[in-house]
Amino acid sequence: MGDEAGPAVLILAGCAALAVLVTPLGLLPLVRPGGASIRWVGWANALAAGFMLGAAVVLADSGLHLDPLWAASGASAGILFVFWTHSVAGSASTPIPVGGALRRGALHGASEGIALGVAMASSPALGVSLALTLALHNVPEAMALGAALRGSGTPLRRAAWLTPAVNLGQLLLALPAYLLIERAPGLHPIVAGFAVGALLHLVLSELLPDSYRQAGQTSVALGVGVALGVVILLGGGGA
Amino acid sequence: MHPALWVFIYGLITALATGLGALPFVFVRSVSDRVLARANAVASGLMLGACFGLVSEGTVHGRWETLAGALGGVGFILLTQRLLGDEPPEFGSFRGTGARQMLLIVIVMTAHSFSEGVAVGASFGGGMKLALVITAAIAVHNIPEGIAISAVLRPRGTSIAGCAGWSIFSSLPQPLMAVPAFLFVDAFRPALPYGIGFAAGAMAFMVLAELLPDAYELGAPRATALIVSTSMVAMVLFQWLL
Repeated sequence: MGDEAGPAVLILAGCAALAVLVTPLGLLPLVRPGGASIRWVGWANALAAGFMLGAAVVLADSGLHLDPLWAASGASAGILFVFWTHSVAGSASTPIPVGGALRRGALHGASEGIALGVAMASSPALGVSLALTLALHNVPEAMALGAALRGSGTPLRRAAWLTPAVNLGQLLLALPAYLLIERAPGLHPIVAGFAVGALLHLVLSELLPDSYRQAGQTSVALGVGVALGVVILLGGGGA
Repeated sequence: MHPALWVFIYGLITALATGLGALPFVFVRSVSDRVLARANAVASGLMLGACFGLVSEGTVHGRWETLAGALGGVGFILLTQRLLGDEPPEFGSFRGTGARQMLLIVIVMTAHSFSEGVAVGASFGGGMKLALVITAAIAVHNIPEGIAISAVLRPRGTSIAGCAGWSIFSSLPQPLMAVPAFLFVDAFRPALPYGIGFAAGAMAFMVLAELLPDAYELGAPRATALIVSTSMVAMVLFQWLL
């Protein structure tokens, strides 16, 4: 794997940067109101939830094969970490002040970044698809954050660089997480477990409740199911 | 005694084990929204965790077949929802949304037992020792499934005996399917990934479309998410270590 590490790091950095850079697209509805319907946001959330759940399945498999107990401990730590980030910064469903929204975004991006690094270390295909998922997920997230920022009187220009800045954690933590697993493969089960727990809790506490509200249950569950299928085929499941 | 009869008896034992899942609910009497939300969350987590196991097992037998089965399972629940949606459903003496969810979970869990029955039956072809291990594993793994069913039925007013009865009912396809699967192993094996995929798709969709939205509505989303994700991890670890 050592020889492939160079290009893989570049691909990882490129994908993670792309995911961060598309973030300000979420501000477009503020510029041109009525452009994106809430239903579409719900669908994007549902698709992102599906991809994240699928990635969690693949990562869990890789961790469990190596060491089930460490993987499960990592998963519990990941769950508790995201749960804790919500208690310091409030959860998505409650309206919160701008400072809270920024903090939540940053902590949130950190756990997503770790998941991205682990995914890349497991398989490049999984890493790239998780990066695209994050891109898909960042846009509606920026939409919510942008609305909060504008509501508190932040100028649009400032919001346009604040929203991607909040997601920088994705890029900044993806690379160390990837390199850590490359250098110390013994840590793979626990780090993969952490990523699984964090992804699961993010999906269950934010993405799913949001998408239910925005696009209705049946359509959303269908989107989640289809997205899950795509990732299983791509990541390899138990194979 | 004919070996097929033994297969039936082993299958029946795994089915009876499902009834044990009702036991924890002897102590649940009150049916506040909070209890309902938490029970929903536990059931959702256990079922989603079971889907993890099903999906990774299915992909070993065939990825596309598993996916095709999963889409079939999703379609099956959509169809069932539509059929039930036209008139207020009845489940025993219950009516309305609660009855719909009770009916759905019994249908889903029963449908998913078919492929488990095939797994039990087919395992007897691999020698008695393997068969015993798999029977014991499926029997133990049926208990949390009984918990999942009881977690939906009990807070909506079903008696403990009813919870145990419906749990066992949901596993009856196991002895019934194990015998033909044992007798015609080669004919059944290719169908296995479709069956497993179907079970995973139906369970995941049922959880996401019926149980979770209710849990979110009745309880705090954060607490719900915490219960769902931890019971999911517990279920995955449990199945993996088995």
